[in-house]
Amino acid sequence: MHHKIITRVSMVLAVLCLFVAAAFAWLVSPAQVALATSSDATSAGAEDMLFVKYCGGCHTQDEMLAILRKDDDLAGNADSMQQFLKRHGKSSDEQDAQIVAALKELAADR
Amino acid sequence: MRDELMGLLFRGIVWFGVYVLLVLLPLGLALLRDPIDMARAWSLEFAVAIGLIAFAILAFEFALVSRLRSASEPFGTDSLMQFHRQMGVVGMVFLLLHVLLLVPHGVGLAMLNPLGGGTASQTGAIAFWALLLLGVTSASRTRLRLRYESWQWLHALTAVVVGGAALLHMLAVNHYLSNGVLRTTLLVYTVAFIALLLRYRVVRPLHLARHPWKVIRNESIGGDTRSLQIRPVGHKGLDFQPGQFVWLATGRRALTAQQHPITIASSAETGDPADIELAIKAFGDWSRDVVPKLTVGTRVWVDGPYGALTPDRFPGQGFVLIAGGIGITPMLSILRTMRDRGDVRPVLLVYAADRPERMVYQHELDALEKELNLRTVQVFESPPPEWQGERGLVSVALLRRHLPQHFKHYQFFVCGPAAMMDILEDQLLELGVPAAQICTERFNMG
Repeated sequence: MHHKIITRVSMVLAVLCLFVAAAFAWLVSPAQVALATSSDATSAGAEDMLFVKYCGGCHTQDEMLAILRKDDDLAGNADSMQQFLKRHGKSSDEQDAQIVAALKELAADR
Repeated sequence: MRDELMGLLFRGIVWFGVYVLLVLLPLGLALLRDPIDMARAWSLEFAVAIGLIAFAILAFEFALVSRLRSASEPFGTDSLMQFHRQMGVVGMVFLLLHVLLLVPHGVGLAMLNPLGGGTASQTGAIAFWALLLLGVTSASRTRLRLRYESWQWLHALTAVVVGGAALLHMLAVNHYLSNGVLRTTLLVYTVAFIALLLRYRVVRPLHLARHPWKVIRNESIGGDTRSLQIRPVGHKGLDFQPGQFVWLATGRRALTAQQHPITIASSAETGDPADIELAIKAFGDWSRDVVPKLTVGTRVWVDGPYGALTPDRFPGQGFVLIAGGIGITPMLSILRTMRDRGDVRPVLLVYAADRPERMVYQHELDALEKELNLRTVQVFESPPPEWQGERGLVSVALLRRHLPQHFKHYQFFVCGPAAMMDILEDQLLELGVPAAQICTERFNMG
């Protein structure tokens, strides 16, 4: 078989892989997840969507839950988190409260 | 024969489809994870996706060159070897991209320290450096003066380290791999890799050990080339097609023997006993030092046959055989077989060499010219002043001078040095030879 045909096949396959990876990242990116979950209110609450929209770009829920549980000070950590969101987050104070409350509930449950 | 060709084409398409599916499957399975838990930045997800694909590519790198006959037949072993090299580069680039794209997300140079950080960081760093070592030693083997055999072992060892460390890295990160289906799939990939490695390094050599051959003649035939005649011991030998090659294993034991791809020069219509002749040119340590010392009676092992450069698979109303240097060996096998089968189809043989004394099998080719419907054109790069024939490299102009009128209905077989093949693949297309009628094979498989 031709050397050049194989080279082209390898290159096309490499580009296809890059496209598939990009599509995958887009599918699981916060915006798409928020969109997908907004039509499925039973599986994800409004707080989840807020978390995805404002925090999910850089953080996972697990990371946040670990921060809340640090030193077994759920309430204190939740206050600090809310203050932090107030200073640095793009969400409103009401949304901050909703996000932190939902996370706090999860941290207490799990 | 057309049915066989269509069957091979169909198998080729199926195998390629399976390969693409296996490379992309982990990403598809990663989508099964709960979307709320995994929402992260696009660039971070892209980096992770690239890493998953790199793992899948590297996991199947070995499958491409593990001599699975059903997979190699539709493509030819040299094509799979080339695909293996190129996909290896793709896998390596993807892994580098994976690391680079993670930099904005907190992966610094410190994370590339295999002794520092947590398990995820350490295993990732080990996979990264092992893959770099694998890439450098593969790309610069001759410059680093690594013996082929030592390099083969290093290549296998580093590949195992890369695969193992990458899997442990993903398990330690435990993000997408918390999905049981994906975790199981990647474990299956790893088990498949180990199984293929065991088959290649243990099972197959043990099978070869039970089917030994012995050297019955070993002589120099000029042009730094030796003709090695071998005979099966206690078995019926090989059933091969003209133009195919074998992996010849030499050493004390089949399990640890050095293996090299060598084309069969014999006719496929072998007699009884089924002796075969191999022509070996002195290219490296093994062919220069070991082959001349293979005395009569020495035990060797033969794995094969392999290769797709054969008129039995690519029939035509006539043939154009273009050989450079030791690339004459498969052509000789084709011509000898045509003689033994009484095949009267027209053949043009273009045989290129540096100078006349580098040619081999000259007398036999002269004899075959009388027995077959064969015309031979010799081309010398540096001929003596008195040479009246073709000189220089095989070119479009040269081919135009000698090709028969209906050459577009002929099947072309080309075998020779890589540089010659690169040029000829383009030039034959330029001449109007349909791509499907050009069959090539490269010797640089090491």
